[in-house]
Amino acid sequence: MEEQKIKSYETGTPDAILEIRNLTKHYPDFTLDHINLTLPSGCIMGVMGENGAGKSTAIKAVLGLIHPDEGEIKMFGSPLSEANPSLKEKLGLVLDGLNLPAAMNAGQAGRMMAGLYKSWDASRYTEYLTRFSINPQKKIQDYSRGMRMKLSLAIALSHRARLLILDEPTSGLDPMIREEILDILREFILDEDCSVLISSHIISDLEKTADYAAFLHKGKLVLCEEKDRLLEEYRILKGSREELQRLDEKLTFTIVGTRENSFGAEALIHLTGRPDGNYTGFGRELGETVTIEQPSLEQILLYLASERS
Amino acid sequence: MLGFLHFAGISADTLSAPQLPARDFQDSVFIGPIGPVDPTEPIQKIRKTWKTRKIQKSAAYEPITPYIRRSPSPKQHHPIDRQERSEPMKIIISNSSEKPIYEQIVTQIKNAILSGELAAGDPLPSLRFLAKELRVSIISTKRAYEELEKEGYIESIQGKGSFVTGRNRELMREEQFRKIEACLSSAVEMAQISEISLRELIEVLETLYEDTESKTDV
Amino acid sequence: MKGLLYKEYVMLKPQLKSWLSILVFFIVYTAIFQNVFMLLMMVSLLGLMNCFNSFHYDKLYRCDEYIGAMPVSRMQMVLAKYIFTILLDWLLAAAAFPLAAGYTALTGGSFAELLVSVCAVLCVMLFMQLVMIPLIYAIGIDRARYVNMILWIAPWALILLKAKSSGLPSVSEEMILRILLLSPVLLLILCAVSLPLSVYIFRRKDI
Repeated sequence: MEEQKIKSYETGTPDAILEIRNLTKHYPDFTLDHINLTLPSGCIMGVMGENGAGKSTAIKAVLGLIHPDEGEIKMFGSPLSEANPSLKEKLGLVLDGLNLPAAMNAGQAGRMMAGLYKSWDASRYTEYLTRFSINPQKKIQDYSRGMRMKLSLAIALSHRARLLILDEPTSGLDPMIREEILDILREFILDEDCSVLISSHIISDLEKTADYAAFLHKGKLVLCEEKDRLLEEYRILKGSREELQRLDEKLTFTIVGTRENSFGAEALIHLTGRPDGNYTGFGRELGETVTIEQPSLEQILLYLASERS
Repeated sequence: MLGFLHFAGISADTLSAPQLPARDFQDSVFIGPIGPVDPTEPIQKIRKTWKTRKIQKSAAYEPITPYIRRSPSPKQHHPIDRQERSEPMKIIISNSSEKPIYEQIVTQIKNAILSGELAAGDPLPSLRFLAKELRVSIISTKRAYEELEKEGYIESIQGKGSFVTGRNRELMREEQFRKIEACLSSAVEMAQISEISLRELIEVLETLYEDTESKTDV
Repeated sequence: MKGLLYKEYVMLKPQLKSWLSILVFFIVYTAIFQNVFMLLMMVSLLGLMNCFNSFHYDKLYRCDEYIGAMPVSRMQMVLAKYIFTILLDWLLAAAAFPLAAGYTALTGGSFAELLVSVCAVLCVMLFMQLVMIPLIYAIGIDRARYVNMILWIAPWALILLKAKSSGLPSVSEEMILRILLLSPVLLLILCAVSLPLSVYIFRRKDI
């Protein structure tokens, strides 16, 4: 299978914190098909996709929870295996919901983690609890959804983790908490040896924070690119059907997908032809008839997904 | 998304952690007037009812510094020995602009250098700090710095950071002029081929200048 | 692994109150009906219940997904379960001993019989758990519960009926001693089979 290469403007190869090679897993009604992904150090990668696209399955494979049928996972340069669980000392995990007994409180969770992680930093954990206004005596069953997420994050950040993996961390949360979480992730990345892998279907969050965007659709990795580059290289053209058809012949772009309605049409185009990737000023030659817009990440992915279905 | 960039004073022994200054403005959110506002009231009075609410609840909160490695690494560290500036440098990113983010950063830093706001030898903020404050991708800030380095405006020293080069401002302006000449000569060629008069060409130049000026005036 | 044991303890704590009330009820029952047998059976049931409950809560709160991503091997996860369950069995037996001793002292029964009954409670708990735990790992907690109900409650019911109708069969002291001496060995062998089997099953499982 051809490898999805990450196009990068960086000189030299960054050290990869996480490498996924040819990850394949077969289920009766779904197949995760030869996923190749590299997460360099010092950046945030957002993995997007619809529900059931395979994001959680891929993450479970990365964590060693499921056994892939094919493929290899390398974390911090070493292959992940059951015989070497100490590799996960530097791994922080935030799942969708807090997977601890409901009768536990934050203080007990801290004590539990102290007995599991060698590098557990209790003072830092207490700092985070204070910052998130979490009462250490309050039981998890009495927490709101946002507080559970914050406790997960506090635990994940309190043992000197270098890789943070978050599976749907912001679903169901209000915008204020979401922004708080994204700010914490940006703070985490200030250390260039740390990386973050987020999977989410709230694409606007990833658009704000991610450096790389990966898109999974029906078990396949459709693209994995620098987010800013994606936004620079795609445009949405809006006009009448005839106008859009006429454009096809003239300029250097490929039409990725189109949408039509009774009053016009719009097309997502992928700009090509400029080696530096700078497409400022594209479309001035098209004149006033066709509207050119810069798409959001969500729009790009919606087009790509509908094109693939 | 708007971000203001503040230069923080950092001494050598706090190399490992950036000391973020008090972020009063950034912590606050205008949530509007409390209660019903009588529009006939004079404006001064209405302003008094606007309140700002701090997002962080505890007043004693200080930002928790991430685990920055203390051992020297060949990668870039946060710059040391920053001088306290009387006015912080302004870099604004517009999401609605057609210009890519890295280009916006390049342009604004270039302007700061050319206008003298950034003097020779002045340190630039670290890539990651800039990315975090402006809430943009690190790849864009990296690309911006690489562009600036390519054009000779800044130089990156491993282990120390990026600094404004000691080039003469006049020299840099001359270089800019040379580039502009090259662009304009190709425009003049095209105009002569299509028999466009000089006056029309000047008109186009004037419109473009006004357009970009209004765009950069944020 | 210490963290895992702590987690089991935290999961157990809320149930201790209800356990206490059950024990009190059966103490009263014993006093009224002059039959310590029911109390001892209840103690063994509590031990087995805890074993099932801990797996049930793990599934309910999806703890395995979280802990599986931590620096603990699958073997340690299984070992923690075994250690906690066996420790709890011993604690329950130790709690049952004074109650049974009190009853024996009051009713004037034989000390040997008391010892045998408490040991029997412990052995039964251990035996049932060592068989059920690999089964739970293999077929899941829900199905294992059904199997448990069918296989183990039935003999107890039979014994109860027999005890009521014709009394417990008389067992010679020699036989009692022989069983007592053999049971630790049998249990150790069973443990030596059960633990690796559970680890083997759990290692191959997708959480």
